[in-house]
Amino acid sequence: MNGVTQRDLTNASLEELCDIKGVAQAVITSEQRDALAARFRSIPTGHHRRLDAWMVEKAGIQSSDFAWSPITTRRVLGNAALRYVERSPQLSYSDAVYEALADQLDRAARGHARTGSLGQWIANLANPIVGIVVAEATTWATQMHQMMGRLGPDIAMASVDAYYDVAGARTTLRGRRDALIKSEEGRIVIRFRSGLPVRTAGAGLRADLAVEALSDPQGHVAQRIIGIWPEAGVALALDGTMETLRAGARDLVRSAIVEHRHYTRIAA
Amino acid sequence: MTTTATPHIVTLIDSLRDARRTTSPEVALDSAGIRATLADGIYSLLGEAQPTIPYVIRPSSFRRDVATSSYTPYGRMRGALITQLMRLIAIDFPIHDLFTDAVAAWRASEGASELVEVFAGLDDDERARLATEVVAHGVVLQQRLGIPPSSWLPRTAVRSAIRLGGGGVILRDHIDLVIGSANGVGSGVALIDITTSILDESMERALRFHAVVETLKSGLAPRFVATLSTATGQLWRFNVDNELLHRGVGEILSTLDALVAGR
Repeated sequence: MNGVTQRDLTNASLEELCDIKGVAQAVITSEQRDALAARFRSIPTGHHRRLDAWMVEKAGIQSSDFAWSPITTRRVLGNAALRYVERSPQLSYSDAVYEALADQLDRAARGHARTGSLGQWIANLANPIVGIVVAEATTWATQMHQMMGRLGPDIAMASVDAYYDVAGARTTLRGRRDALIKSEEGRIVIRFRSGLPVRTAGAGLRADLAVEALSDPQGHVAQRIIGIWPEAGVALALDGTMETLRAGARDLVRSAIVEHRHYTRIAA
Repeated sequence: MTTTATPHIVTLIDSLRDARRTTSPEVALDSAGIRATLADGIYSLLGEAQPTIPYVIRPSSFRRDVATSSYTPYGRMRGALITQLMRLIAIDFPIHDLFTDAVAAWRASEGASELVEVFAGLDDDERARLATEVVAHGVVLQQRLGIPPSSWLPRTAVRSAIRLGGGGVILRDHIDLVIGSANGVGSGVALIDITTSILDESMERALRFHAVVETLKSGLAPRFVATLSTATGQLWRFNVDNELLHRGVGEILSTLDALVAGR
């Protein structure tokens, strides 16, 4: 599978995408990590940089107008709910969402939630809005779990997103991952996305895959990343080759450069 | 089609529960054939040239000519508020005041939009009129929808966007309530559309559109499509079969033909 592969969400296509027999596992060496760190260090920054696939897809533009809403909460709460369901399969999706919601409120009540965090936002919501937040997260969790059921028995929710702090470069890379398929042949990273895939969706997946590999202490690269757009009925997949990884890393470096230019322009 | 004429007794969920118990003969639904027929039809209409702006087909594309009153800002606001109430009912969330709860939920979901601005600009009389309409429709919704059991995996406000013809055509859909699972042998999914207007032939076309889009999206056809009118309390339910899907495809192509001719 060279480059980005696109498939409809039929059972046969999903089976094909989950088959990684014969796909060799690439490994990132410490020399490669050092080279990447040097690239990031060469791009000046006056603040701690946070880069992710979203920025790569948006050509390095920082999201300045993020606000919590029922839709923006659904991935956080829905994924947390699915982790509850994996631990306690007797829980319904909505009950699991309430558990995830309670965790957020508990953190806010104990003072562990920072200003602007999800916990603080939820703590100040009117009752009907909490209802819509629960409805959104329940719908997300149900749809994702339904899709996971079609991806085979080895799939499980990822416990957290992948983070990699670049040594000495004041840069944190974040790779989103919703689920992982771990089998004898290796591992596949699964991303669930909303809406329609944009032209830069492949670049976003490459960036997620690169950060996921960098965050692995041994540098083992996942054999494949599959982005699933359930609303569009489409999946995009990329193999974890060294070429894919280099392209992903290059896109992240490019995002850092664009971000630096953006801040320089503001300062001027 | 099943029409229920006893609005005060049977809820939509009851109706689906009965239908799910009834074993219908297994129909082999041809989702690949549906996609191929659509692709061929789109090619014959658009040819190889890609339109600079894609043609977008929505359920409203089938309803606009008949139910024009529902597409005024006032009708759209009423519909949006009833959708929020439906979402709260579907997860069995307590509702204290039908109108104020619906407005709070809607404004949080919608964010800043043209419709929210229209709402903010309503004078007291207009707002009171909207409130009384929403409460009347909300009462019918509470009586006639029923609460889906969590084991039916209810999902609300489920969006779809399917690109066809190399991106020249986009089918956009929004299903108010989806229940059942598409996993396993055959599909047990039911798509439910809640409308504040009366049910008519155009609603049948919108339901067929929902069935086609779901089939394209998941590769599996739904088992039922159903609708509830909060204006009259009337319920319609259709079993999805190949004939329904192919009629839906034909209607999509006719709508596209009209769009192409009108551009």
